[in-house]
Amino acid sequence: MNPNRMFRVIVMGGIALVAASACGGSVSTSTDAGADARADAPATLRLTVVDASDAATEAGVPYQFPGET
Amino acid sequence: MTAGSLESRRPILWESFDVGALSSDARSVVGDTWRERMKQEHLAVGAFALLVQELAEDGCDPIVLSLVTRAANDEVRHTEVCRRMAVALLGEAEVPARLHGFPKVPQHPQSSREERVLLHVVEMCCLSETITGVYFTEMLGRATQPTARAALESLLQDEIDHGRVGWAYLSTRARDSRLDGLSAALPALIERTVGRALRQADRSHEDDAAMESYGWLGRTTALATIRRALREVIVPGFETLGVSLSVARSTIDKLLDGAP
Repeated sequence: MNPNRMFRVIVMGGIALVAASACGGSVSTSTDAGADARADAPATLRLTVVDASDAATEAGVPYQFPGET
Repeated sequence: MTAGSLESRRPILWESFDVGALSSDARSVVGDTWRERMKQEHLAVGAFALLVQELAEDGCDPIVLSLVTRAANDEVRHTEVCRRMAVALLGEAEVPARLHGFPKVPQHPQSSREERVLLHVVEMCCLSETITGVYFTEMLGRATQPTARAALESLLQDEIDHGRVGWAYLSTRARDSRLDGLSAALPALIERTVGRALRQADRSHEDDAAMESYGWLGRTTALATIRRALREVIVPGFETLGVSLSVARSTIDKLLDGAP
């Protein structure tokens, strides 16, 4: 486990949720493996559809469960 | 409501859950932890329901209220997932079919309403649920039995959000310069969550790879994981949001360095 990754996923991911919501984004949350598919998303906050996985990506770390491919 | 409707959004193949790789003693140890977790998840239903009331009364960003409201329902489902894990390991007769009860929530009588909701969110989400997210991530990294992994994943995907919503709320309180009372209260909050988790971990059996494969952490790994969550996730989280740790520093240092 990379603890810095957990900091980014939980703490920065939470902070990014509020930022996304404040921008008028439609916010839903999911930590499914779909986050990995968005790892290459632009490093700008999405203003239309933002979920927690995106927020983690924005913070630099898409969330993926250990052992999940 | 059927049991199936309480199932995780991730499928869990209970029918193929094979506990035969564990000795009878090992099944008892691992099963006990899932039965205890079942109780904690049930108590979390009431804790989040209280947070919903307090946040709705005091006001917060809609995303925070939405996630906390959903969390109460998540915990109902978690209780059932843990119950089924415990039943598989211990047998139906050893596990209650349902629970009742409400957590003893600190009332913080000297605090104002707006201070009290902040302390409750920090204790529940920034501390307790954040530790749980890190703990389950470590547990999942060691679990190999497919059904146990699926159960852990179903819990973990929600626990991550339960931690996140705390940091989301704390960020709005920091943004609005409404952190009064938090720094002074942190030593007690940290002791009650991190300290209790460490003491509980210290009573565990030593690490065992076979038991880890079914979703369990032994003493050495559990203690290290909880301390890592405090040192490398929670403390940097408070620092990032400008929460003073000057009063809490000695408590943090004691928990990181000393005996549980």
